[in-house]
Formats: sequence, C-alpha cells, structure tokens
Amino acid sequence: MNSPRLLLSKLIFSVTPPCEDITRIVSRSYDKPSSLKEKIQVQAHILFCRSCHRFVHQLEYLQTIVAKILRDDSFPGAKAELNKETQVKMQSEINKALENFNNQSSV
Amino acid sequence: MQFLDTFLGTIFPKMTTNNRTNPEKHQQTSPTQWVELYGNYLYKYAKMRLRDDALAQDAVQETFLSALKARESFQGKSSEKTWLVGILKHKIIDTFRKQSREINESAVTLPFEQEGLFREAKDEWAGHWKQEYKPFDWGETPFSLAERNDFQRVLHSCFEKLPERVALVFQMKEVDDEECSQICKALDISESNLWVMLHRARMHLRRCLEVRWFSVKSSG
Repeated sequence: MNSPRLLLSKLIFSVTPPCEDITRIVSRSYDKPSSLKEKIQVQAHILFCRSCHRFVHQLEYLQTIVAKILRDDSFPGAKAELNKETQVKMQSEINKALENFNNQSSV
Repeated sequence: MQFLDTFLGTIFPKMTTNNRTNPEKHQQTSPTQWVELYGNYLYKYAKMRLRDDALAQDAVQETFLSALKARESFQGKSSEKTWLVGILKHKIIDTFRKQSREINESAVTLPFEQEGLFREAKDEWAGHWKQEYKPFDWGETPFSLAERNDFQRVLHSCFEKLPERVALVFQMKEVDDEECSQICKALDISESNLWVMLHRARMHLRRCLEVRWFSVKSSG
C-alpha cells in the first residue's frame, strides 16, 4: 500500500494546508490577490486532492453564473411588485414634497 | 467632431462615438411619473436585499424623496434609473447600519454550513473533507444553465437561506462589483470579517446547488 503516489500525496498533504484552509484560500482569492506561496500551496494540494480540485473548478463556475442570475432582474419568480394602493400612496408623498419645494422656491 | 459624429452616424447607425450628442438619453422625467416608471424596479432591488416588505417600501419611498431634493445635482451622466438606484443603495446600507448589531451572525448556522464539513483535529486527516461532504463531480456545467428558469429558482431559493447581512455583502461584491474596501467602509466591518462572510456565502451556495441541483441531475 506504500505506493510512491501514496507516499508523495502524504508528503504533499503534510506540507500544504488541509482542505479546510485550502477552501478559504481559494475563496479569498476572489476578493484579494493570493500570495505566491498560497498559489503554490493550492496547486500542490489539488494535484492530489480530487475534492479540492473539484471545489476550485466549481467555485470558478459559480462566480460567473451566480452573479449573472442574481443580476437579472427579469427573474420570473420574483414576486416583488408594489400593489396599486402603495403606488398611489407613494406618488402622493412625492407630489406633496414636490409641491412644498415649488412653494418654497416661489417665495 | 460634431460633423464626424453625424457623418459616421449615417454610415454606421449604431456607431456613434459620443452618446452625449443624442439628446434622448439621460433625460430627467417629471417626479409625478417616478412611481410608475421606477417604483417596481426599485422595490424589487430593495426587497432582494432587505427581504422585509415594509423596510423595502420605506427604502424606496426615502429614495424618491431624497432624489427630489437632489434633482439639481442630476447631471445626466448616467440614466435616471441608475441615479435612483445609487440613492437606493445608500438607503439600504443605512438600514443595515441601523439594524441591531446584536444579531450574532456566527450563531446562525446555515443549512449547508461549512462547520462539520471537515475532519476534526484528532483525526489523521484533520482538516480534510469528511467523506460525506466531499465535492462530487458535477458533470456538465454549461453557462447556459443561467438561462434556465428551474435552475434560477433553485439558486434563488439557496440564496434566500443566507442571513441578510451575508447576502447583502455577497450582492455588493458579486453583483454590484463594489470593492472590498468600499463594502467594509459602508457597513463598518473589517476586511477579514468581510472575507469570512463571503466565504460562508460561497460554501453555502456551492453545497446547496450541489445537493439540490447537480446531485439530482447526475443521478439520472
């Protein structure tokens, strides 16, 4: 069972951060540039860790697709709409304020 | 330059170098039309971030009233809608700042939370993925998924599970493209605080989508 690959993977895992930290490093790389050390750590780790390798690609994929969907305000499920009553009330508040301004400026 | 613009405009109608020569863009409308023109859009925007109906409506109303006062300052550099959204963004941030900071976010456990996903300290493989939470193969991940209504619904439902502040921070960063420093300043949080929240959001969304979409589809 002590295949070279297994030994090598154990070596890599002993000198690179474990998966939990790798996920944090990868996530933060989207907010702040990773250091060279971090980049190497991640690359070395994902050479032997299929889970983290998948994680890296999944996050990459999600970065584009999630923002795209959330940005889309034509989302059909979004039930957010002001009812007629609220609209009328809102507009009348605006009109009132507008009138006040106009009255003030004409003084 | 004006002549060149017009000349090019006739040969290549879509290619005008300066859209400020087009008088139709970026005009102001009468505030008496604002609710009709922008009410629902602003409300949707606010509801997405504030979740609460009343808070969202208040934010929109405040936006209109502030906009009224600031009308002189509208220079037409952006569209009126963009200008209003800008004001609304500030109102939303103000609402969050006012909200009790006593809400201890770290106490809120998300359904697909990162705690418990990794092996404990005593384990030989401490810090590595637990077997049952290992990311699996998602198979096909086309960008066209973004266009599917059913996928959008799942994503939105996953997104709704995020605590409000985490969701807001995520939106400010990923949707509104704000810089980290700006978000930190606006919400009065530290950078590391911000990174933790964004990390939680990403871990949650990834796992949520994995369980509710990608695992179901690949077991077809």
